[in-house]
Amino acid sequence: MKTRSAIAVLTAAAAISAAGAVRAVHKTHQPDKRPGFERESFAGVFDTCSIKFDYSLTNGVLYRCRRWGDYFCNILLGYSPRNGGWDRWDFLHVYVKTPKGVVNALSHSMPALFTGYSAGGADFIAAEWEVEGSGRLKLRFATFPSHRGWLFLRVETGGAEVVRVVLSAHPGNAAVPEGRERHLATKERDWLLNTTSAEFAPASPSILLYSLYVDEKFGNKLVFSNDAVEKVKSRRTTSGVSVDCTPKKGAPALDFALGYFAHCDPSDQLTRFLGEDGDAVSAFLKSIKWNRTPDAGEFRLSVDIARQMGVDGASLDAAEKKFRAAAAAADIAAVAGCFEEVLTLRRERARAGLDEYSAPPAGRKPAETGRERRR
Amino acid sequence: MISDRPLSGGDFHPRLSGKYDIILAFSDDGLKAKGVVNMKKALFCKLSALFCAAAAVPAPGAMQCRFLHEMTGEVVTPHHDFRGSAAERPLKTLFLLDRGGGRDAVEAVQRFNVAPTYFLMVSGNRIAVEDMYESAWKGTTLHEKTRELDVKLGEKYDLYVFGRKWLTSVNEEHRYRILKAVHDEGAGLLLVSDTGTPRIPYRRVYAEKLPVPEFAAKFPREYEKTSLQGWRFGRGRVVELAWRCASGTPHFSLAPSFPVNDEWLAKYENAMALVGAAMRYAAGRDDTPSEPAVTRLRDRFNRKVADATCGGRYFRDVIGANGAVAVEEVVTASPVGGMYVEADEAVKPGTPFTVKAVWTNASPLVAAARFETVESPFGRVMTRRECPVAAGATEVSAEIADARISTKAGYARVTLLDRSGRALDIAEKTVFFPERRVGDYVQMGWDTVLAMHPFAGASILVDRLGFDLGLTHPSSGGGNIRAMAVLNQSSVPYMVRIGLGAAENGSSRQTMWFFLDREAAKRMKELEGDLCFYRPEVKRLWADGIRNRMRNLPKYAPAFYSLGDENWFSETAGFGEWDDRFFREFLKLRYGTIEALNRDWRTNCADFASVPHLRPETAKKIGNLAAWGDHRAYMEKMYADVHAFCRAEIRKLDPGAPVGAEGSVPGDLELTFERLEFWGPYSNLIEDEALRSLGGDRIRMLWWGGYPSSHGGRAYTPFPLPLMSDLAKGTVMGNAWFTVNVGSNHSMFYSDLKLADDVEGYLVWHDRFKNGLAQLLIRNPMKDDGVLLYWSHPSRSASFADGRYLSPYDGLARIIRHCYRTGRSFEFVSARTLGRLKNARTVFLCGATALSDAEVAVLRDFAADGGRLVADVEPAVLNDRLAPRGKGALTDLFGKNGSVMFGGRITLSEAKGGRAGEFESAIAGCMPAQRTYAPGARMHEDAVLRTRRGPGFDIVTAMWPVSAPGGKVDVTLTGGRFIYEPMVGFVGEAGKVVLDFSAAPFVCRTVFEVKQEAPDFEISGAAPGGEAVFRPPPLVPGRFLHLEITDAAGAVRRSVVFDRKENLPRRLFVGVDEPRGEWRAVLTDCATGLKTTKTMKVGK
Repeated sequence: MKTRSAIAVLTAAAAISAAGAVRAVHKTHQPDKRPGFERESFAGVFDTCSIKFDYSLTNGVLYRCRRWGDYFCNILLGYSPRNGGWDRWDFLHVYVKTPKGVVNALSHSMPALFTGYSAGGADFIAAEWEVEGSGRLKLRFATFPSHRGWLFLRVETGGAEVVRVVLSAHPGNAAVPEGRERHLATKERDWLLNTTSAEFAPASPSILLYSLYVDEKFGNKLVFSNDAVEKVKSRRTTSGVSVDCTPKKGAPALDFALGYFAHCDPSDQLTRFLGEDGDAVSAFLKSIKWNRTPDAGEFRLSVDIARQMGVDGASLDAAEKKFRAAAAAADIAAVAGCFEEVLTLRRERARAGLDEYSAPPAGRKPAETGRERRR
Repeated sequence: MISDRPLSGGDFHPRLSGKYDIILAFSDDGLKAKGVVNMKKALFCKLSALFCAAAAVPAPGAMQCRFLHEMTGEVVTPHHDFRGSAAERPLKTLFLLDRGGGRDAVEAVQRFNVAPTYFLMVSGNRIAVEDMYESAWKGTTLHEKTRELDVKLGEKYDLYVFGRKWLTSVNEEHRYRILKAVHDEGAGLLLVSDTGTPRIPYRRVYAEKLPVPEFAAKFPREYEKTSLQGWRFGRGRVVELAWRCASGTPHFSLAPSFPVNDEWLAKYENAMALVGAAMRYAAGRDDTPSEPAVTRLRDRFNRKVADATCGGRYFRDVIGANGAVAVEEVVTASPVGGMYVEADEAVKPGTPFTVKAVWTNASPLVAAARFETVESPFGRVMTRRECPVAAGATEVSAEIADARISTKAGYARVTLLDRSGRALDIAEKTVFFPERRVGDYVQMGWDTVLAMHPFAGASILVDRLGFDLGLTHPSSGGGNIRAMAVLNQSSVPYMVRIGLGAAENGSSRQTMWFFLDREAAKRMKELEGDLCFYRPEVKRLWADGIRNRMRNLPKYAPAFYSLGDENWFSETAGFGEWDDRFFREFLKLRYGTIEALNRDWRTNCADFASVPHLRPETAKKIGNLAAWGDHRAYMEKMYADVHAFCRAEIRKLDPGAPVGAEGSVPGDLELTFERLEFWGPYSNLIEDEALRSLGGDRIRMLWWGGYPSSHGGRAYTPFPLPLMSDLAKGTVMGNAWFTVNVGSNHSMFYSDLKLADDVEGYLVWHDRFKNGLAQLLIRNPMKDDGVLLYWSHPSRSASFADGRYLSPYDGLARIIRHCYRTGRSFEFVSARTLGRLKNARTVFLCGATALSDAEVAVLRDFAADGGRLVADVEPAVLNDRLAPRGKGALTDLFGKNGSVMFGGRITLSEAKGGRAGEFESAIAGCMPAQRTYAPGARMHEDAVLRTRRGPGFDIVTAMWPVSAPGGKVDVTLTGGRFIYEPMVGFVGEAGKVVLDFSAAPFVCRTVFEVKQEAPDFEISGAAPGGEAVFRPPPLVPGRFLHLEITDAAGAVRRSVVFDRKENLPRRLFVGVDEPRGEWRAVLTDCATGLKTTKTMKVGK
């Protein structure tokens, strides 16, 4: 039942999708190559990047990820040759505690809310998962015109109990060419991940993932709320690089900024990013007000269209009132519900109107329409 | 926006009285002839600013794009005005159109009093599609398009027009909003289609049918069943205009398609007039012209004429005082009954031919006949003469010594005259002047001038931009190739597509047979199971397929023929019954004797018949690399042979035609292109350079341009970066844009034919390249530094078979990039071109593990003569058939006389050492000394510096990455030199060339020992219909000159780039009806940019 209502809310995403530059696209019943399977996806498309959660279903039920291809957590941010950059298949894991153990909440169930909105010049995707026996996991993705090329992420730890957040990347290239060195660098230290794993309590907020000798010119930047992170781990690797953050007890949220560099010399990036730019992004990250009031423009447009179509004014007035309250409370789920309500009114009005135009004129034998003839 | 300069090399279409003002929306400085120098400065300032901005960060996400969503109306084509003088409110109209045919709506808006809003959709019964190319552009997704329409429907309109789109293209909500506006507010809904629109699935729409309006019945019809029907729907009207023609092209949304000839414009004018009248009718405006009406008479060439006395078809436009319009057809009976013209369909340019006019009834009125040759598509009359006609005659003929037509087609026109010179009847015949022209710098579009409003396309795409080649599939019988010729665009017919895959039984088989006719396709199906190319029945299929596609094509002189793009073969194919047979034949040729094979295979076969045909995986598994290589070589040979066979079949029907393929896998590159004249690689650094060096004069191009999300194209910098880079490197000899198709997300145009914003930004470079700079770079060879890179195809194969053998590409890429940054020239050498070693000093043997005995011997001689060999890994450990030698056949040469073996991947030598600097010095130490044209400081790692030797001058060309703006490097010279910027002018006298990339990432300079003078020439005046005599300065191949002749109004009349007799303008004829006055001829020395201007008088 919960899933059904969640889907109802999700449908609203399509409406909000039109807001400004951001859009959330929920696609159901997408084909899957495997017989008996279909796919369902939730995509958040910003002006400068996109994210997508893509699930397999069989008989209408989520098929929990067992092997590669069952689930994707995709990101397109920055350009790197040969699938390099933030992991295009599974860039984000958020592990939460459930009565049955620790699970990656993102692949364990589909989002209960997935919607996009603009607020105060920035674009947001709100994504929330119901975690069985734990609470609601809330993620907010955001882009800001002042920081093109960066995707900001907040993982709220207040609802579901977040154990770890893992971000994955293939700096430069997803292949494993001979002779390439994978590095993780902070202001304090540089780890050669080909030979050693990294584990540290973060003293500074910036991490640079880069390669040497092959794929040197492309890499990934990460800024995070290091005050809220107990420790960072990165396993030994020659291929994909992961940054595994364990939150400090009681930290209300973990904040991240995901960036990249392309066509640049890594030594230059090491100096600039770890020396200065990372701190500036960190300061910005700290200043972000995540609970902004969604802009009302798109909603008003929708209401205007509904009025033009002849939708009952009282229903629209009521919806507008609800929207104002939801927006003021920054209740994103309620905002999405208001969009859906007006959309439904529009759809119903269009259907009824077209039915009227389909009815035979009074006192006349109905004329045969083209559609009927084709039948 | 400018209006004072027609696009074409002339009036474009002087038959239209008054100005034929195609107006392009290019910026003023993009086209205006005057103030060129200041324009360039201004533009460079702009470009410079943009360059810096663009270089900041490559923007991820979808790119801004106007050209797929908006229409500007800035390109104005020749048309007749139907607005009249009625003081009416403009018809506020929302056009919902297939974006490929958006131009039609602009054409309607040009003629009628309309306030338009446009909503452009992708093809098909839908408003949007999402894929990797489409979605790379902003605003193209279903959600974005839905929102766009949501907002646009928020406005109130008098009229909604669906062009080549059904009402069901839009969602139910949008449908309802439109129908509600019609029903409740009295708006009109006009549905225009070529084959008829399916009924709207709402029956009340059709409840009240309106009588067919009077004006509709009178309109001239090219298609008999064209219908206009209307229904009253509430307060408004729903109207359907169905042309009932054959399904047209997406490049017309409101008009039907007509055959392309010089009557097209009149037919299109009539169609647009009917669309305009239907719009008024649908919107409920007066549809019957009221008095006092304005009338106008047009002939069948769309010329406004005073009377209809000459026999033939006319159109009377009536524009009422109330703004209503009508067009009626008027047919004037000819005094001679009827007339036609006979002439050869194809005439060799410059040769005489006979034109004969034959009419039905002898008439005493006929006194003379006027014979004219008229250029297509712009209607310039090039010759005119009159002959008396004998009384009672029913035919007259004349020999035309030279049609003087410089385009690909024209018309032989005959007009019968009475004693007073009044025209009695006119007839004409289309004549083609086939001349295969492939210039030094080729500009080719994927798709053609037919993928848009054809006459505007001929003016903008072909005449202005110079894309005089179009790649397209020939239609059955070559109708589209003919139409292209009429529009003066040369064709590159796409004949076949070679893809050799494996059948279920392992046999090799061609996978795409679209080029067969029905009968051959049936035969092919009967052969299914074993379609090995060498099987005689299969070869016959190929030959028949070529013949089928070639029908009529040679008449129109295609520039060259394409055997496909993305051609490929699979090495898993080739194991059918016929393959086995031919594989053994192949082995016999390859080895000569069974003993030789046994030696390489380490087998003991009795004869070739008993040699097993091992599958690649088996051969690899048992370690028989030679057997693996032999099968691969067999498939490569088949791949090359199919190309060569198709070429031979084409040349049987069109002797001497260049043939090739592009964007295809190379196979054994040299073997594949050996028997072809044209090849385009699937671009990569090494193969592009190998093709440049080993491919000789073969036509070679790389598609770029439209790709919004790949291929390095469409970067939204004001520079055509991929083209600049390829020209700087010398890897292409042309500009190949994918695609010119209007409405495509790869297109260079808005739907209304304005140039896309980024393309407009390229214009200054585009013109420089086309007017001589590209030719300079293409025709002049690179300087010779004595550096050769070894091209060993078997070694590359070996690296695929066994990972222990290093790929030659690994090392070659690093060496090439080193040469780019240090300005050293290099060429390739291969087993087929060992003669090149004679003048070489250093040869790089990168991954050259598999060399033949002959190659080994020549390389040993080279080393013995003091040449230096540089290898990354031990060379020649295999022979050229991949059989192990036991030890490297050249190993003993290293460590002596400067020959060096790095003993590992050159790529990683830098990694393990002191990084880039060490690598550079290690490689530089192996190179011959470089005294000139070396950069004075370290270049950016991705920079390119190439120097060419011209006749009496050197050309220094460099590219600097846009990601690192503001580079500046000095290039050494041996003394004081005079330095010029090609196409621009004198830079200064200096002992070095300063390459400053702050204004652009591409810099080109020419270096002379002595100061240059502007080129001198002579040009005479000419009478209309006469000839101007042009005497150029002495021609020196490689020293290009650009001659541009403009008329008194500044319109370009001729533009030609030449450096030798073969491309010198043959003769400069002046058309009979070209404007008189003082014309200007400007001759530019492309290498120096110095120019001389002379005037010539045209007129008596």
